[in-house]
Amino acid sequence: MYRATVLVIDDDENVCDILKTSLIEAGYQVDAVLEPEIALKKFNEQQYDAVIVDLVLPKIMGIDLLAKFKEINPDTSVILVTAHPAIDTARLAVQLEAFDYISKPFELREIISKVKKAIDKTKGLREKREYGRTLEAKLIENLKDIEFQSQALKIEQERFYGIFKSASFGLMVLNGLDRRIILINDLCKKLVGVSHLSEQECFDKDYHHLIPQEISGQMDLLIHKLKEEHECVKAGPMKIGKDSMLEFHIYPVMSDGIMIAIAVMINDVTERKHLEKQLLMASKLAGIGELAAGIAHEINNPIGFVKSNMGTLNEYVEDITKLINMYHTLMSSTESGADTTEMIKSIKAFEKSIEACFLLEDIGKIVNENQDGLVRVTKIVNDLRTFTRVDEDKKGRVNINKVIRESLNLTRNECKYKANVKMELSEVPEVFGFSNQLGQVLIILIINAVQAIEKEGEIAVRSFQEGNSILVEVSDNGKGIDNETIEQIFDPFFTTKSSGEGTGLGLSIAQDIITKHHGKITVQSKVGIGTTFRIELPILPKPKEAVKT
Amino acid sequence: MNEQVVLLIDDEKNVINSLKRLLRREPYKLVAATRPEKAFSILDRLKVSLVITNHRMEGINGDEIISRVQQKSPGVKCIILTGYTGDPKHSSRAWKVMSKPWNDTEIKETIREALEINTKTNALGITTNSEDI
Repeated sequence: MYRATVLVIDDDENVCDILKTSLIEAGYQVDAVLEPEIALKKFNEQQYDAVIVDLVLPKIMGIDLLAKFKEINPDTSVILVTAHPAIDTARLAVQLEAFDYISKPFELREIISKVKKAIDKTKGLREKREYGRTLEAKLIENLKDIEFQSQALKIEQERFYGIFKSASFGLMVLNGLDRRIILINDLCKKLVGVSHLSEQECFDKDYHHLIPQEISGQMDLLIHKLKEEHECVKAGPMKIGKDSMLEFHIYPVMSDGIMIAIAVMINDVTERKHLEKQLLMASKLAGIGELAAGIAHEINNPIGFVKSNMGTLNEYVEDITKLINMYHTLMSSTESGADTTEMIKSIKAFEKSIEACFLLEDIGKIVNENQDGLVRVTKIVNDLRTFTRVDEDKKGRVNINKVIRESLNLTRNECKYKANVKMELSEVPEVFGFSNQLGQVLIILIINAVQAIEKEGEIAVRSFQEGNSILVEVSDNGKGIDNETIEQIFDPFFTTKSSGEGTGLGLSIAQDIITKHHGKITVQSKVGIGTTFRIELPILPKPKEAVKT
Repeated sequence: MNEQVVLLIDDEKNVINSLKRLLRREPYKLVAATRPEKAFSILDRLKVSLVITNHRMEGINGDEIISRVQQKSPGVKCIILTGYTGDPKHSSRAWKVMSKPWNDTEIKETIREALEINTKTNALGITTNSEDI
């Protein structure tokens, strides 16, 4: 157990002894010295909790000793003892922060009580100082921490700035309140056509003054929308300038419910759109591939009879030309008054041999039949042209029933040998989108339905309205799809058909197109019973996002 | 008179008309049917030397027609005349498969060839069917 230490300095040996004995009895560890030098030495070596010093000592005044003690260890409480109390000394003692002042002769009880208080005071001061030191240490540590953090923050900031600068998309950050530019990266400057300006020159500027009107106008619209919805808004891809396609995403940066900044992300999708267009074309060609056999059949039939009829017609014309030449000869002979009896006989015989009456009648029929055949071929080619058109495909109001009829028309030959097609079309409102693309989806679904039928079956195409959606269903009573296969049918290049027969792109293209129209395509099937594909299209487009080209 | 009969089956009336015109002067008789049932009823009543049939028709295809024809009249030659390209499932029952659009001269010669073979084998008193040739 710790015992408090007390140093006693008195040149009177008796006083020293008495004090020492009493203090030891009181439970303290006591050093009692006669000489001030020894006292100082001890005080230097050891930390005392209290000191009792006689004010009048042989070589040095107690008051000077007090000053030295305070210098060495200011926390230690010092009690002065004197036989000659004087005001000046008392004042000095107070100035030097002596703990207390005792007059000789003193009572031991008084001394012990004061020593106890002095020790408490010393401890209190030491604790305070200790606490101060801890605080200081902590403070230093915190300061170091803060310095480290600010260093890390700086690195982080530089890192983000680096990412921001070198991002592969255009990025501009606007002040949430006044919409002035806070940050803009190089790519963004390039995309909006202000490459010549430095970042500094753009800083704190109103974007309307820097950016071409066709882009800033778009941003105005989006920011207006952003203010209402407080979530990412998107626009595009839209044509900007000569041949760039840009896509805009605008995000709010929120803090405590306040939009403190607006992040504008601009993507150059020119290349992507170009590829998408090529892919769309390729997928259409893939679709045509599937149609090709049926269409070839549809074209080969009329070409077959038209071509053969032309050959026949040529022979007819040869015969008739011969006949007309004979008539000419007859005419000249009649004019010259020659005998024409024989000539008329041979003409009649020739007419009979070539069946002239039949020929004349049949020519009319041939012309009619050939016209019919050519009209059919023209129609097929026109239908195909509608199907393959990419550039002229414009977004607009689409009468889905019309699209259904056209698609059934184009797939008529696929259907007619295997399936009885039922159309159950209700009057439905128009949808917004690309009629050719929707037609493509229907053709894909119809061909799939036909192919699901092994021998003979039924296909039903329905349209009806349900809430805010238009539903189109294509059902067949063919072989159905098992559970394992149904999981994969929308995957690109997944096919159950043999190679050459199917590309595996049909349904993935269909899904892609319907998604772009903000719709859904789903399937329900039972093996041996049949399959129904259902397309759900919104009557009105979502205002937030434009349908892509 | 031993005039041979060629039966044409095609659901496309215009195809039949054009073939009839083309073959009108040929030394055999032509009968035509746009529906398979009509063709079968003709076969019941008439001895036919050659059948030329379309392949893809409503509810039936050329192969099925050929097997029905050969049930009724064993040994009769059959030609498939189809506008369908690249269909690998054409039957080996057909003596020949020809494509639409056809070549007028080729179709005339092919029919003559088929009928000459018939005449020769008949003259020799040999009965045969198409697979042996």
